[in-house]
Amino acid sequence: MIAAPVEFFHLAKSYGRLQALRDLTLTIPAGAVLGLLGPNGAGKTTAIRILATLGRPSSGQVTVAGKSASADPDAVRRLLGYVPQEIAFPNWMSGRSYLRFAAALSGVEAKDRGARVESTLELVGLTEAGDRRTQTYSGGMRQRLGIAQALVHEPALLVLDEPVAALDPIGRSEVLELIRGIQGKVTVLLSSHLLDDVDRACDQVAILSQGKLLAHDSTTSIKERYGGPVFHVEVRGGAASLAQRISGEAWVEHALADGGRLTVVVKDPARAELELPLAIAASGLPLLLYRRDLPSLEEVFLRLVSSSAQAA
Amino acid sequence: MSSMSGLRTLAGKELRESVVTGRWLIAAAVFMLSGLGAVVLTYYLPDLVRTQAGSGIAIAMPRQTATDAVVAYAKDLDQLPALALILLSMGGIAEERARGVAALILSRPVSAGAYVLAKFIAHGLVVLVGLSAAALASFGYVALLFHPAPVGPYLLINLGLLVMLLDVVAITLLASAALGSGVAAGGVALVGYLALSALPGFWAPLNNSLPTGVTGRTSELAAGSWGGSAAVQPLVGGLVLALVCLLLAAVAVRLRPA
Repeated sequence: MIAAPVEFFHLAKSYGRLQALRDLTLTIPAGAVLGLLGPNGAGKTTAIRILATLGRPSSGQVTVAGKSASADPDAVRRLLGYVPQEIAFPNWMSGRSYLRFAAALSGVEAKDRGARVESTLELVGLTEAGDRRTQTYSGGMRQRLGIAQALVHEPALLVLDEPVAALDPIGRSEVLELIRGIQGKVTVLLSSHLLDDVDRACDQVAILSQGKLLAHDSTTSIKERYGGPVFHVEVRGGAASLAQRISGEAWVEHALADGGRLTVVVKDPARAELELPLAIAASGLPLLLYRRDLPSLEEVFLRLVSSSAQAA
Repeated sequence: MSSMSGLRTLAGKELRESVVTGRWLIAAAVFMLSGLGAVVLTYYLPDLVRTQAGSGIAIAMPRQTATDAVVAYAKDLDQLPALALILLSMGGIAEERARGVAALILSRPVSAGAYVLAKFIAHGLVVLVGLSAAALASFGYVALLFHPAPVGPYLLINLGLLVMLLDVVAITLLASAALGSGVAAGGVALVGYLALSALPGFWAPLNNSLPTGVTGRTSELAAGSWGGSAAVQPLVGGLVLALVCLLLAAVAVRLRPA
């Protein structure tokens, strides 16, 4: 199946007085891997459930390849592979038999089912454990089976709600590797609290807070637009005096010294590029390292979410 | 979407689940124990009463007949097996939804109607097999201990029991679809079962339109003084009740899939 574009169009959802989603408009191009970020209660799972046809919007709509999730759920379900936040399988089924069941439900023809199940088991590394009952699987194996059941019918869109939250670092790395492996072939929407993982796996990021979309762009652009650059400096001796010297400058947002290391988050990158080297030279401290970086996704996320909370 | 898309695959899964989890065995054991127990107890009832009464007291006990045994069989089959069915099916939808199993199924091109009906088919087959086994074994025992019961009325009684128990399954699935937990669903289903058993006794038109119109007349049926076309309305009414419950359950699943 060819990767499908997804469009959230003025989507809103309320539960009584609580507005879980407010006017969410967002386009995910076909083949993109989008990380959906937001604090608890931001509306991520609500948006995902509506996209997965498991919830209905109060207003607005979501479309996958032009098909509306509320008006034509069956068409969307045929395009969709979904991995929910809490994943469970019938305990008595083996991984292999569950994949056969999932493939049959998704309309994979009986003659193709065996081969499709085997190739999906191989993709997620569960070929040998395929005949074991799912109740004997570890958390990581269950998560991988969850991804396998979402991929077995070769969907155009893969939706993953916190797919790595319960996994150890090795399991997380395997799942992220899997996602990177299908990049471009399938559109992926990945919700996660683990910002480093989103940074590693996603080429686009959308940040939600209190049901509203705060930002959406490519991972690099969002860091440039909302984070501003960070300068990493290392000097011989203590960097505290240097931090103190530049802290009051108009181009500095904050400067943090840790031994000989100094991290400077700046408001005005152009002035910083001129002023910071001068300040280092004036301090008389021998310079060991000077590097301009983009901020981490975590810094951008925290900045956007805290300013949104202050505005509210 | 077809209103029953995915039914065959879902029913296959439910039937395998019935076998693997031993639901068939539990139901068959409960049905057999209830049916055979009723017949045997009826046969030995005069002896039991005599033993319990002691040597100085004389109790006049009418001789038990095949009709008495069939009446006791119908009463017992309408009680313990119904409770067992509530226990076996109360988590059918509520627990799958709570554990997240339902989300994986219902995010596929599957209709809510097919999801509910597949569960009803599997539980209905458990009822059919358990009741058939109990009916055959009890018929044999009645013939052995008394004399053969008339086949036509006996079949009609069992048909009434079948519809009654299918209603119990449908009510339980509706409660399971509408409520958040299997235990709550079991409680509501129990109230539904008690209402289904008791309420028709207060209003004849209702009694004539529900399976209690057959199961409550076992003595007349067994004695051959009632039956035939009069039994059609209660049986059809019972099937309509099951259908309504299943439709409502499908609506509940559609509104809150997972």
